[in-house]
Amino acid sequence: MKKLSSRIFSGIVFAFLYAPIAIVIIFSFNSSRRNIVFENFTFHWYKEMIGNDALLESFANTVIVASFSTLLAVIIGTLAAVAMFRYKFKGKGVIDALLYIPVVIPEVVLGISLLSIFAISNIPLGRISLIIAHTTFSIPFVVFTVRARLSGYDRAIEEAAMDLGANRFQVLTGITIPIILPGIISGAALAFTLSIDDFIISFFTTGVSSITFPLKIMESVRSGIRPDVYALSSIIMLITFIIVIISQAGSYRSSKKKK
Amino acid sequence: MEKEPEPGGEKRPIVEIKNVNKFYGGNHVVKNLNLTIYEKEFLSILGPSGCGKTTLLRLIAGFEHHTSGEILIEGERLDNKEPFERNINTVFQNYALFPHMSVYDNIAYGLKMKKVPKTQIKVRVKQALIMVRLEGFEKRYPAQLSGGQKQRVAIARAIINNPKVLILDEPLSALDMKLRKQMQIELKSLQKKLGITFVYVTHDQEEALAMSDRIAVMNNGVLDQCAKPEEIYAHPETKFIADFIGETNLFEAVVETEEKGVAYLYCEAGDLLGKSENFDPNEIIYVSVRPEKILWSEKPVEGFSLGGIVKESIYLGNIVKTIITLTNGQVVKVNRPVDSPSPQVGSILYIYWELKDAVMIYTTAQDVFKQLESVDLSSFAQNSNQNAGKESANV
Ligand SMILES: Nc1ncnc2c1ncn2[C@@H]1O[C@H](COP(=O)(O)OP(=O)(O)OP(=O)(O)O)[C@@H](O)[C@H]1O
Ligand SMILES: [Mg+2]
Repeated sequence: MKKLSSRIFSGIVFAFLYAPIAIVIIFSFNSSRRNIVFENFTFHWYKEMIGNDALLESFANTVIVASFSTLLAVIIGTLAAVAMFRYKFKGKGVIDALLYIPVVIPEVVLGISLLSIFAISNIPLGRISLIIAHTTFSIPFVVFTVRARLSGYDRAIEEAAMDLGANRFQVLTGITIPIILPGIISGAALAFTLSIDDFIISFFTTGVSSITFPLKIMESVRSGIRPDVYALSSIIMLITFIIVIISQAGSYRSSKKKK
Repeated sequence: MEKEPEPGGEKRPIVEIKNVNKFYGGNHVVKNLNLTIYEKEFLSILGPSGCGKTTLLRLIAGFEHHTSGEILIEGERLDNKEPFERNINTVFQNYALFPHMSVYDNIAYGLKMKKVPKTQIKVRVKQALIMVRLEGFEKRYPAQLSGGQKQRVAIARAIINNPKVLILDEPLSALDMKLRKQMQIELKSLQKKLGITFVYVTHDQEEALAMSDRIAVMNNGVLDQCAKPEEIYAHPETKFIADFIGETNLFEAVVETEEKGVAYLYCEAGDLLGKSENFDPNEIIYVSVRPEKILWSEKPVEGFSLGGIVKESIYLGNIVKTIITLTNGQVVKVNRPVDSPSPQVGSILYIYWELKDAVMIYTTAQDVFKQLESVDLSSFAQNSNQNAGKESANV
């Protein structure tokens, strides 16, 4: 009895979470232009999507921005997490607290402040400004995931490696980084997905030549969404899904090792 | 305190620690320490928690730099060499195994760093695994091992480089009693087999007495005495050691006179006798008498007048411990084998001992040190503060 009700309950939760996603995927294969009734199964919109240069360009922009901002956020965030774990310095507590602010601050505020910084420092709005903006809000997430991994990390492990003849560089590449790697990977996955679907901050900090996919969709909402947007959305979802699976598998493997 | 009996005449010194001081900020952790460690010996460093044992090891291994003095390894100054440039390996207090590597890779790590050919690594890891009796565990990860097994991996990993000196920081403290005893025997025989120097830190005095060729007793950053276990037990040089190594009864006494090798003393509880060692009249000394050496009678014995009442008697398996309270409230412990007579609970009696069983301890050595501590060190600490600051910045 209990089992049945818990099954029903989790069924409802899953339906709630995944029904909208399922609808997008279903309608990407719908031959009707209007997304109210499902007519026939077709790959038409996928073909259409390939022909839609503006749409593809916005997608390319999104991927480029996400890749670079993730790379930057991972490098900066990892170094910050390691430094904050390893060294005691004045103002460490303050920096610690400040890290949370970009996470909790309303995105509109962050977007406006970034925009004014770019205006003051004469950075033209475009891909570069987008990458900087996305790096900014991604860094704290990388710091958090790497730091979670570092908690319980025993410095004696590094000393043991040096004791056995490893120099500082070998300690970093052979010991420290492999141990915190799962944290870096999940941080990167988080940064990448956050960047891909960011709308508000991108809205403030992008230029005409660097429209991203979420911005493109918003733009097309006014004129009615064409199903080729569904097609591209489905593909993006597939990519996101794969990233999630990879990072989950990574943390599963390392937790198995830890046990 | 300076004298150090050399075990066997022909032994070569391997580590020489000369007048070494270590400050952490203003905290004086190792105080003017002198110690010579010889080839192939099993030296234990014994002392209570926080006395600076780990710090001393870290100085030898090179993880920490001493504030003043010098450390020689095989006659060579190694002050500015990195840990990986020393021929010393360490077994850490919490093993510090690499969690992301298998047992095989953990043990092979030192050889890989030395760029030893792969085929040779294989052979040597295999030998090391046999030596610590862990054959068949190559593929496991540290998280899949028991405490004792982790311990052995840590040892195998450290000895595979054939170090001249193996440093072990309380390697058995995380193990249960039985496994501990077993590992003690294994470690001792391993040391004999390998013929390398072991510097073994423990705060378990029984362990130190059972395993060591020599024991260095540290107290609050000071090396009190370094000698063979029998010597330490029978002739502790300070009150602290007498108290710390094994059980003892300490009497703080004043010297009255000395005559024909006998020192006539008195303490709060009454008169007592000790060995004459050219004390000054009225000098304050300590007399240490082990619980198994305390004798008793119904009447005071010539020279003694330490009366007391028997409070309780505790059965401890192979011995019976009797607690006697003297007239001034001081508690005296008496140990006797179960099958020989012990004092009756509730009876009033007088305790005494044979002169040969009384260990005479000077108080002056300690007092001098206390004075030293309060005088010159503040300015010293300030100098070293700056050094220590620099150091921690580039750790
Ligand atoms: N990195 C450090 N910075 C400042 N003080 C330290 C540092 N490491 C140790 N100390 C202090 O130095 C003193 C000696 O510490 P140490 O670790 O050498 O003790 P220990 O004899 O090994 O104790 P235990 O038996 O508990 O391991 C302690 O008072 C400790 O607080
Ligand atoms: Mg210690």
